[in-house]
Amino acid sequence: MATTTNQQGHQSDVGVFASEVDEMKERITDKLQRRQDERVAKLEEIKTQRESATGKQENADYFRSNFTKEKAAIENRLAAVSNNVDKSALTDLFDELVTDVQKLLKFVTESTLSLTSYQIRKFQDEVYSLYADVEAKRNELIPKKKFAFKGRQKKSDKPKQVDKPKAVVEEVDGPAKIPKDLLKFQCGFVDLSDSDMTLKSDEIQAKDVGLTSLNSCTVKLFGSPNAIHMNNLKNCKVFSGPVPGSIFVDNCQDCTIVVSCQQLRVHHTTATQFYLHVTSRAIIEDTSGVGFAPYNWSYEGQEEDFQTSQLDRSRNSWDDVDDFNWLASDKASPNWSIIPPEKRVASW
Amino acid sequence: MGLLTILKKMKQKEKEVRLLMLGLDNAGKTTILKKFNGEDISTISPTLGFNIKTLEHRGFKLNVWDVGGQKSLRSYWRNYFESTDGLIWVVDSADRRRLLDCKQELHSLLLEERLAGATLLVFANKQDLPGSLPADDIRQTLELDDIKTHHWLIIGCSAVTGDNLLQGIDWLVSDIASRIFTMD
Repeated sequence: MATTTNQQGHQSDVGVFASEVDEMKERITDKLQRRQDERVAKLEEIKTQRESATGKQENADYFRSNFTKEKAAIENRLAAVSNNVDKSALTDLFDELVTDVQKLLKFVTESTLSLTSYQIRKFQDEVYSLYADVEAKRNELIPKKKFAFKGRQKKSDKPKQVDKPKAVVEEVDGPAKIPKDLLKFQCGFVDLSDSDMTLKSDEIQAKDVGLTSLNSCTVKLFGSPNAIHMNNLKNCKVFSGPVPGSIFVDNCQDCTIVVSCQQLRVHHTTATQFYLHVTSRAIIEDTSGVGFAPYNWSYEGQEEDFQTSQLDRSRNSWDDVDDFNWLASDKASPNWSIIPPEKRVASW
Repeated sequence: MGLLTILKKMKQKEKEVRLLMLGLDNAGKTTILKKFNGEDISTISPTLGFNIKTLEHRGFKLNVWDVGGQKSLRSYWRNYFESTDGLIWVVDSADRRRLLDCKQELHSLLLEERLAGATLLVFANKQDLPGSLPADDIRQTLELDDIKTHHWLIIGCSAVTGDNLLQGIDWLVSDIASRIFTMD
């Protein structure tokens, strides 16, 4: 009995619930529908607003036509650039062009949503090639200053620092003007042939030494420069005390280089012999036919120089050379070799 | 919008920052990384490939990628661009001859779309050398003032003495944090 009543009571409860649930369902569906309508309306509104604002649809076609237009405009301006404008105006003009190309690239980036990845790639490539064109033309019309040394450079930085505020003022109107002697080495030799040169410790101590375009010369650096940059040497002999930094050898042929350093970096060099003390590693890149042997030059005061440069005399990996063009580790690079002991020069 | 929020939250939880360190060869990239991590810097060889270090700094986890700067490696730089939060450009302030090369490489990097959102920190390294150019001259030579697309800062530093390394990284991290993480 009791069970039945309970059941009945329950049933009636269920009935009440069911109707309530139905009602609720309706209410919620209504609400959802209303919301959906509102949202659609709002989207419509935003869309029409946007369309009326730009007057055009933001889609791929719109992008393409605008892109083509902008690109053509830049190309036309680039074609119109000629040499009869004066130099500073020309630089300005190119700067403007570059800014516009960058804007174009930004435009592509911003429109990625409406483009396929193929299109993005394609448009980007177009922008990059346009940029390359601008740069090529710039290089043609405003040739980069040819880099050259004029004997030894000033020995102290002080006068330059006095001049500095002036340089900043000049810089305000126009693209950065690089002071002419800023990009030169402080000491070294350039454009010489058939001569013997030496530099003493106090002249090169902790400085960057540049040796450029020498032919059949012998250079002796008695001391400890911070770095040595050798460029375009032919048939030269170079000797140096301990270098705590790097030695660069670039574009050299038929040279003998007797140096001690932390790192040796050799590029575009052929048929050159190194007598080397290197505490970390020597590397070669785009280089062939180079030989290595241990460092065997000595001079008075060398021991002191080793101490001040803090170059470790006990660690020398002259025979451990990394070839950046030869990444196979199981086979030795054919570009360098160890000079056999009997072929080494015993003393200088 | 939704995705960005999720990404932000994910990053915030880990406070992880990806930094890419580039520059010409011999700029001192590996030395900076090792010095910052308190390792021995006297045995560093030219980087053949790359180094990765994860550093804890001010509650952030910094994933620093140091990629070799030799010419033959530069074409691989692009492989490291993805999801970079900060770009550290290292300059050898004493190597005057290659500053123009340095400028060109930097400006071509800044055109990279995948680096578009990255903050740029320029380290004018090797300030301990008497022949080095001050950071201000490097700023002019590299035409940094023309950079409008990235947040940037140039700071003179020395990887050998450790001067200013921390200040540079601090600025970089706080700039990235203010962009990516909602500040607490």
